[in-house]
Amino acid sequence: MAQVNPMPQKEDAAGSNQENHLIRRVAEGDEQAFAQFVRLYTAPVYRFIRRMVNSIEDAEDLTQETFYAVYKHRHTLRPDAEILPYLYTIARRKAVSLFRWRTVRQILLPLSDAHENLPADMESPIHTIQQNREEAAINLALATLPENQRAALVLRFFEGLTYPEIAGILNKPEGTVKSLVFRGEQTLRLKLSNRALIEERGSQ
Amino acid sequence: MNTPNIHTLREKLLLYVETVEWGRQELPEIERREIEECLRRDATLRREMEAIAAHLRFLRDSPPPRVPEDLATRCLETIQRRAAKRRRGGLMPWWAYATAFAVILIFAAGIWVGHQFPPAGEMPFQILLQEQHQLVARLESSLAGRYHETTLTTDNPWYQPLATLKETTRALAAYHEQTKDNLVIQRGLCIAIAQNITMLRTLCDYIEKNQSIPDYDMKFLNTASSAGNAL
Repeated sequence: MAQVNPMPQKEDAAGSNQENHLIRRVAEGDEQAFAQFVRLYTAPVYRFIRRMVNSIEDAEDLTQETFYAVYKHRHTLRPDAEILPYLYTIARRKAVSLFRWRTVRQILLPLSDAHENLPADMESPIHTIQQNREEAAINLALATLPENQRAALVLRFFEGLTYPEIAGILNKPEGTVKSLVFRGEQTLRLKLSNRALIEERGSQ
Repeated sequence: MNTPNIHTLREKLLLYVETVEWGRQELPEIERREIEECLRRDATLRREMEAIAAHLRFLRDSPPPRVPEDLATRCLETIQRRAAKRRRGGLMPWWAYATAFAVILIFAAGIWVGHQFPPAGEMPFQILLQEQHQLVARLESSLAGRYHETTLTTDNPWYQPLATLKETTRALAAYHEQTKDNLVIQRGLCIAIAQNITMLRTLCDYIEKNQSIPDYDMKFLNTASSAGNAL
């Protein structure tokens, strides 16, 4: 295996120093800094939640809830803290709360509903259809995993966090996280192989 | 060189792929060499590794969920609105606090009274049942006296309604025994018996007061003031 591809990297907002400065201003109660903070981190938080809940509306609501929780406790933010793992921790807690409130059926759509849940722009060019199909398939396959496996997998393979960082977010030992990722990867691969998407992409 | 067992090997294979494919040092050099040795020997393991690699490439290259353009703006608007509401919530007028305090006080008093005078477990149903038996006996006695009989005979128009009432009561008592654990059903049974008691008491009072017998049709209850069969 000669080819070495870069792993997805955590979003480096505007350099570590600028990030620390921004967080310090947020902690001091600077409203403009908080607005900048939200604009900076909305995308990674939303993407993580979207993979977790498989519903656009829920993902948007939970993103808002996550940032509102940060706003309420902004005075406790530490400039030297890793902010993305902190945000993912809050976002995951919000998602878990939502799972407890709703039935599994309402959030986690079964695989048989995949085609019904494709985006509405099915008349768009063929590559868009392919992309949407893949996104829907991945989200639906993820939705069948247990919550902790799903969170570990999303944080590892989509958000590019390290195992120690994921262990911190899930509040589990690193070895347990590796097992969760291992089992999750196996299940997800099986689900996606059944839909022949990996092979399809590989042949293009 | 130790060969890891199959489960450990498979778990390490994922870390190996991450190390080689993504350039992350997830495995120590010695373990990496162990895996490579196994891969050289085992074609199945090589296929498994290729499948994992293809899967991770697929995940990595899949399009990320599209983030709504105005989401950050909506987040900020929501936060500002909720924060403002929260601030306003802290400035309630004095009477709102007084009302809340009074409600809490009444609630606490209710709990205290409840503890001081707890309900008597199974007693209400048995007491109600006993009272119904007494009222049925009183009604039978009154009716028999008005018809110049010692007991109600089967051809008496009141015989069948009272027999039905006794039968229903026996069924309710049996049902009560079977459903002792279900408080909702127990309460429903008590309500049913209490309604019977109200009806029986009204009937007894009417007969004794008016020295007459109303039509046995239960519509009597609605027209008790004007109806009644004089003896």
